[in-house]
Formats: sequence, C-alpha cells, structure tokens
Amino acid sequence: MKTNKLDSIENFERELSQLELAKPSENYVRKGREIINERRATATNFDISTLFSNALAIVGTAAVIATIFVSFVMNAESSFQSDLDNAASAAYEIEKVDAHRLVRSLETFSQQSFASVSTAEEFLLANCQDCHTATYLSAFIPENIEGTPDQISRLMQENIVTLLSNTDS
Amino acid sequence: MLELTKSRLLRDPETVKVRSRLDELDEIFCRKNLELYLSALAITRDPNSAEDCVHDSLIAVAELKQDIKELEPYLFRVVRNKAIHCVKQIAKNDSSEGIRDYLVTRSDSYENAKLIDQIKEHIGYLDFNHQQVLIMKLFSDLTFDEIAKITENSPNTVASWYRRGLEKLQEKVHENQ
Repeated sequence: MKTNKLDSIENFERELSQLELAKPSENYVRKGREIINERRATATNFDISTLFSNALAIVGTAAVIATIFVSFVMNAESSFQSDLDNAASAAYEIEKVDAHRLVRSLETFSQQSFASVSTAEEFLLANCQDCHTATYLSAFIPENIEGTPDQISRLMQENIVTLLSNTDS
Repeated sequence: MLELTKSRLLRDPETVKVRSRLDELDEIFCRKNLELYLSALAITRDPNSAEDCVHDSLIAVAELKQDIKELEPYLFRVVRNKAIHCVKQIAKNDSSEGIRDYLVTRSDSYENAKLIDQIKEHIGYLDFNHQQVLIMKLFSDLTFDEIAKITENSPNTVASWYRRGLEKLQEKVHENQ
C-alpha cells in the first residue's frame, strides 16, 4: 500500500516535471545591474554644490530630529512604551504576530527619520525579521502624511490600539 | 579644488563603505539573479511583479545607511518581504490585469496545458510554505539546500514541506479528475 502511494507520488512528480517556471525577461539582469551602477556613480560623483546642499540638508534634518526627540522625551516616553506593549499584545491576539518582534520593530522604527511614507514602508520591509510583522506593520503606516518618525509611529500605535479596542468591544 | 575634494571623498570611510556594499551587491546579483527572481516568483506568481520586486529590493538595499552583516541572506529577505507586500497590494486592488503566466510547458501538448490549469487552480489552496517550496523545487530545479538558504529554514524542514505539499497537491488534483 505504502509502495503504491510512493509510486503514485513519484509518477505525479514526473508528470509535473513537464512544467517549468517562466524565465525572467531579457532586460531583467541588465536593469538590475544598471540600478546598482547608478548608485555606484552617485556615491562617487560629488561636486561642490552637492556637498553644500548635502551639508544644508544634514543641518536641517539634525535640527528637526533634535526638536522631535526633545518633545518625544519630554512628553511621551513612558506612555509610548506602554502603548507599544498594548499594541503588541493586541497585534498578537488579532494576527498572531510575534509580540516581541513587533515591539522591537516599532521601537527601531520610531528611532528612524523618514522623508515619506514610502521610505518608512521600505524601512519596515527591509528591517523586520519576519515577513508577517513587516506586512502587518506596513498596513498601519498612515497614508498622506509627511512622516516624521514620531508622527508615523504614533499614528500606527493609535491605529493598532483602536483595532484592539474595537476587537475587545 | 574639485578634484582634490573628490579624491578626499573617495578615501572617506563612509564613501568606501558604500562603494564596497555596492560592489558586493553587484557580485551577489550577478551570481544569484535567477534565485532572487525565483524566490519572488514563488510568492507573486507573476513574472513581471517578481522582476519588479527584485529591482525594488536592489534599490532599497543599495540606499540603506545602516551596516549589514550578511548581505546575501538580507537581500533574499528583502525580496521575499517585497513579494509578500506586492501580493497584498494586488489582492487589495483586485487587479490581475497584465499578469503573465508563471508556469509554462517544456513541450506543447493538450495534456500539459490542462495540467498547468489544474496546478494553478489547486496550488493556491496549499499552505504558504508548501506552495513556495513546491514552486521552487518542482518547476525550477532548485535544490533543497538552495531553497533552505532562500527561505532561511533548514534543508530538512524544506524537504518535509515539499513532500507534504506534493501529497496534498496530488490529492487535490486527483479529487477533481
């Protein structure tokens, strides 16, 4: 009986070996290498105006981060951690996302600076240790917001906590 | 003055680090471009989206500021995360328009065309891990070791997912015959 089953699986496997996955397009490798080479060129092609504008951008960003950090520390540090814990347990209950990973991801996330929602999303996708947490968190990135880390992570927590209270009720 | 600044910047530790990361990324992509594409295709089941996921991941990794210890597994993880995100977006927008077939036959025959339809219909009902391993092993000849590296699991786990997935797929196909 067992032998028949094995034979049948092997036949099925043989039958499926007639199929194969679609090959990538001809441009796939060329375009990938172009992407890397463009970044390589950008990394070495400096001029004075780029340096100057970069310096200005760095000073500006540092000022914004310092302001956010001070207000963050002054107003919300303790409640932020408890919100994170609540959000994590909510997420765990609802989606079975690993609570510890979620907290770590949100903490790392809230320490970053983002120029836009898409960069925030990029960060999540690139940094979350597991796909489920990344996709779970990215659903909570608020749309249409020029995101500072504080704004985005706070709104995400609020959304998750709202989800928790809705589920509780 | 400009040349002097440029040569200083080329020796700048930060610039050297970025360049070295990009060189490594280029080397990994040249060596593993097919596996990267297949790991995305196993999730998106759309060749165009799979290519886009890999290209988007290259951009994301090339532009990261933080240090990454092992770039190759990291790149695979980013590609897979992006592919999952992409599937979610496609489902959200309910747009299957323009999706190319991800399965093709090695030889043209009516039976093979029918088999493709059956597999495409039933594979989606399997467990997510079983689906991916089946697609990568059955249809693209990757080894269990290679699939294990891509999915960050042990070869034994991957092999067991493959066997269980194959059995379930066979059951489903035969149920409907």
